[in-house]
Amino acid sequence: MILPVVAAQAGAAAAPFGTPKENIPGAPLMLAAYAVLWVILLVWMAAQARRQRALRADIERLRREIEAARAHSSGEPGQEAAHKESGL
Amino acid sequence: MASTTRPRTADSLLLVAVAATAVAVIGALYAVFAVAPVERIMGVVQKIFYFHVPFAIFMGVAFVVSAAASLAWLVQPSMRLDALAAAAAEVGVLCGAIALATGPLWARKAWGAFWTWEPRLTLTLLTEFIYVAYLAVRRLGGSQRSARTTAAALSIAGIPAYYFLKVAVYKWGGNHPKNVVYGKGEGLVDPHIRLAFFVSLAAIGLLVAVLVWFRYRSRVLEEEVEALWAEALDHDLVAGDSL
Repeated sequence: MILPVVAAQAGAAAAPFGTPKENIPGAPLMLAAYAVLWVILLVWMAAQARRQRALRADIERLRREIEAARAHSSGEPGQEAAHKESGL
Repeated sequence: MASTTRPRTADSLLLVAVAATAVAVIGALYAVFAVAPVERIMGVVQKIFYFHVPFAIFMGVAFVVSAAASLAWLVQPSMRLDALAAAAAEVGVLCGAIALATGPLWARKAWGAFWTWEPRLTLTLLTEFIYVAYLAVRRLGGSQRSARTTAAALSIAGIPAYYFLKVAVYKWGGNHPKNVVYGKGEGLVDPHIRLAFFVSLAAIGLLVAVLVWFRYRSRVLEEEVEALWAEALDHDLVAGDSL
């Protein structure tokens, strides 16, 4: 709820937030600013979350494949099947 | 095992930080729209100020952190410093983008134009470009040390530009308001406006810290992937389709 009061700004020697030059409605500009802010933030956060998921998946896959390759090179019979399974 | 326990602890801490940030941001929105009154002269468009100014402030903070971490990395290279420098620069660019996108919407009403090439605006854009260049050098140069050194130098070189943008309104004038928060005879006179501003500043500070942390973790994961790739090369795994 927006309070129906207007800041008095008593004692202010100058208008600290500027003085309107034209009679332009402020509400659309304010809404646009808040929309831009949230769009930029949410797009960036979604991109980061996606990137982190991809990186974690890469790490898991690389670890699995390296382990399988190690097991293969050491010739452990139980591990060979896992190595084969990983497609290497 | 330390290697698995520590990321889990970090995940939990990050979740707590994200929850605290969400509460703080909701609190800030409440303070801006329900506590702070509509300003007498500028009207409702003044409410842009509560987010525009904090993002501009934290843009500078992030760039300074990036430059300090870059300088420390040049003196004593470490993955953590490099990751911090990159994370802070990227979040700084994000904050700069928000400040540069929201400011013109206020300016349209205050100046009758979205943009003027006045000193502070021009220098803000220039500083933003320096750090965009930093990110581009890092992206194109990959993990090459020469690229990281060039990027570190760019990050440090951005600080004089940031200093000039801070002093521009005092030295060269221009349309941009001077110190809105503590200016002599200006500043935040109304206590509700002051309260909303500082709540907003705290919430955005927390948000920026969480974003840097989040980006830092991505950078650490990228380093881990690069190390695993190197290990995979040692095992001749690159020939397989799966890699």
